[in-house]
Amino acid sequence: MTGTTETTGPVQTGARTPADPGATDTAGAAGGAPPDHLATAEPWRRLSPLTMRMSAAAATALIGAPALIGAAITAFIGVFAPWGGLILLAGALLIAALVGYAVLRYRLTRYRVSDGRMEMYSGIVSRNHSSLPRDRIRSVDVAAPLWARPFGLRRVTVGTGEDADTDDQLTLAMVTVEEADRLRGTLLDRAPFGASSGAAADSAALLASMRPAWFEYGALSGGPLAVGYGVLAAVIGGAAQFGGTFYAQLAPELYDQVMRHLVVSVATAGLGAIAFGTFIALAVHTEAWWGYRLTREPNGTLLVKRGLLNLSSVSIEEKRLRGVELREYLPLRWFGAASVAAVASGLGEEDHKSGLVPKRALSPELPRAEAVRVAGAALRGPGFPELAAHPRAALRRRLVRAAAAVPIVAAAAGTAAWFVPPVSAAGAVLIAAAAGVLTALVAVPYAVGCYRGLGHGISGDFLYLRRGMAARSTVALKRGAIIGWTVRRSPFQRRAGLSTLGAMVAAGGGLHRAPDIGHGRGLALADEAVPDLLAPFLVRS
Amino acid sequence: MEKRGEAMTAEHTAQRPPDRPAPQPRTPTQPRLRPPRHRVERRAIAHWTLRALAAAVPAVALPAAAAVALDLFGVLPWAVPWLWAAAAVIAVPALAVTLAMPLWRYRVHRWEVTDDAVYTASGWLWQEWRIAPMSRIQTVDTDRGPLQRPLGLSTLTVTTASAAGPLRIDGLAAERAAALARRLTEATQAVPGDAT
Repeated sequence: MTGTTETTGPVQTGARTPADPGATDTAGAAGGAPPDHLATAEPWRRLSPLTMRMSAAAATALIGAPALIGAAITAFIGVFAPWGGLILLAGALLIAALVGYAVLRYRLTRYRVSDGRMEMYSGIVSRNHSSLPRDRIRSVDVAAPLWARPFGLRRVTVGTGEDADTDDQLTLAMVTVEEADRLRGTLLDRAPFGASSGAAADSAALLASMRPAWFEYGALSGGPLAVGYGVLAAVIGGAAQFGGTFYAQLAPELYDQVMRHLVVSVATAGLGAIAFGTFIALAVHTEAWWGYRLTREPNGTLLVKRGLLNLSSVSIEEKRLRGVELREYLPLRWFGAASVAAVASGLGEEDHKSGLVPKRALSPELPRAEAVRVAGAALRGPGFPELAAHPRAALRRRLVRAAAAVPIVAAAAGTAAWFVPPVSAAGAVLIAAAAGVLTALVAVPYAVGCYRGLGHGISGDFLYLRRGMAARSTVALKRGAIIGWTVRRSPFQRRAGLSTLGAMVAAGGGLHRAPDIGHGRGLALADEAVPDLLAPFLVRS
Repeated sequence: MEKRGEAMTAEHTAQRPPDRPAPQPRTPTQPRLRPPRHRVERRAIAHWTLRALAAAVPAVALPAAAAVALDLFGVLPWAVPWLWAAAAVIAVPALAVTLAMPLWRYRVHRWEVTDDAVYTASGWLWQEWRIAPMSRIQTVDTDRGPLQRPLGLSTLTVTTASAAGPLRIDGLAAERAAALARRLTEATQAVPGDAT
C-alpha cells in the first residue's frame, strides 16, 4: 500500500494522487476526533484546524493591536484622513495574508503513520513529501510553545537520527495534545502486538524530578547566564543609544552627583548589573526547567519533561542510549553542581538545540551526588567510580604548552605596546613582563586542571572517560555500544609513550577520546572493555 | 563481568588522592599494537609523491612566476627579491615533505582484514590505527582518484555507524580493492541488524 506512494516521479503528481482521497473523505473529521482506522489502511490526517485560529489570534495580537494604536495616534494628532486609514488597511491586509497562509498550510499538509513508515506532504509553493521508515524513528519530541498552549496544541518533531541532519526530521506544527500523545505512543512502541498502553501507562518509573533548591544553580549556569547578561547589554546599549545626552540634559544635578561620588556610583551600578543579570538568568533557568521530570516509560524510552511557559518533552529510546555524560562545568563545579546528558543517536550535536537546553539534556544542574544517581538510574548502571589518572607525561605535555604560551603572549603584548607612541622601550618591556606573569598565573593552573581532568576506568558494563578543565565531562559508555577504536599518536606522544585512545560510538560526534593515556595502558583498557576485538592485534612481551 | 569489575577495583581503587596520581610502571604485561599484516602497494609511493607535488609545485611556482614577471616588466622592483625569498622559504619544507612523506607513509600504511575485524594504520608524522569489528560495518566503497587511475590504485573506504569517520585503506591495487570490497560486503550482509 505504501508502494504506490513511494513513487519517485515528479513530486507534484506524487503529492496529489494519494492526498486527494483523504482530503475529500476525512477533511471534516481530521482535526477534532481522529477516526478509528484499520491497521493496514491508515487514512491521511491533517494538522489540527485550531492552527488556523491560533495564527489568526497571533496575527491579530501582533499586527492588529499595533495598527490600532498607530491609527489612534494619527487620529489624536489629526492626520487620520490619509495615514491612519493606510495603517489600518496595511494591517488588515497583512493579517489576511497571514491567515490565508495558515489556511493554505492547513489544507495542504497531510500525514499518516502506516505499518512501515510515517509520511507527510507539506509545502504551499513547492510540495514536499517526506517519508521516514518507522523502524528508524529514534525520537519523538513534543513541544508546547507559549502561544500554542491556550489552544491545546503541540508541535511534534519526529527524528531518525541518521546523520543528525535536519533532513531526517519531520515536524508537525501543530496537532492536538491527544494526537501528540497518540503519535508518541504509536511511533515509539516497539511491542510486537500493538499498543498495550492501557495497562502499562501507569507503570512509568520516576527517575528524577525538580526540587526548588536546584533552581538557584541557574544563577551561574552557562546558557541562562549568557541570556541574562545579553539582555543586560541590550538594555544598556539601548539606553545609551537613546538616552545618554538626554539624561545629562534632563538631570544635570544627578549627573554631577554621580561624578562626585564616582566610586560609590560605579560599585552600585556594578552590583545592580550583576543583580539584574542574575535575575534574568534565574528566570530563564526556572522557565526552562520548571516541573522537570525524568521517567522511564513502559515502552522502553526515557522521557524528559520540563518547562513553565513553553513545555517540552523529549523521548529517547533506551535501546539507542549508548551511555550518559556527567557534565561538571565551571563555575558551577566549584559549588558542587553537575548535570547529566544522554549519549544517544538521534539527538544531534550540542549546537542542534532549540532554545536554551540541548535535546540530549537529561537533567538540569543538580548537586553532584544527585546527578550521579540520575545518571546511574538512566543507564541502569552503577554511579561514577574513582578513575585512574593518566601518566605524569601527560601533565608534562600540558605544562610545556602553558610554558610555550607565556613567551608568545608576552612578546605579542610587548610588541603591541611598543607601537603605541607614548610607551617607552622600558615600558614595553614592563608590559611584556606583566603579560607574561599574568599568562603564567592563568596557564599553569589551567594545565594542572586539564591534567587532573583526565581519567579512565572500567566498572561493570561501562567504560568511563573523563577530560576537560573548564568544561569537564565524564562519559560512561556501554561497553557493548563501542563499535571500534582509534589510536592516534603524534611524534611527541610516541616519544613520551602516550597515545590518544578513541572509542567509536553511534551517537553525536561519534568519538570519545582519552587524550594522552599511557600507550600500553590504553590498549589494555580497550582490550578489557571490548574483549576479543583488539586481542588478535596485540602482542604482549 | 564480576571478575572484570573486581580486577579493575584491585588495580585502580588503591587510589591516592586525585592530585597524586598513581605512577604507572611499564610492566612487562603492557600490550603493544602489532602493525597490520599487509603493506599497501609500492606504487602508492608514486601516488603520494604526485599528490605532494600537486600541492608543492603551485605553492612554489606562484611566487617564483610572479617574481619573474615583475622582473621582466620592471614593475615594483623592490618586491622581486621578497617574492624569490618567499618561493625559497616555501620550497624548503615542500621539498622535504615531497621526499620524506611518501616513503614514511609507505612504512606506516598497512591493513588487515580478519573474519572478525578490519584493522588499518595510516599517517606519517601523526599516525593513526583504527579497528572496527566486521559486525558494525555499514558500507564499503572503493574509489579511484585521477592521480590513482594511471597507477592502477584504489582507496577502500569502510564506514561504521559512528560519525567518527571511516576506515580508509589508501593505495590498494584496483583488483584487490574490488575483491576486498566484495568480501567485506558479503561478510557484513551475513550479519543481521543495522550495525549500530
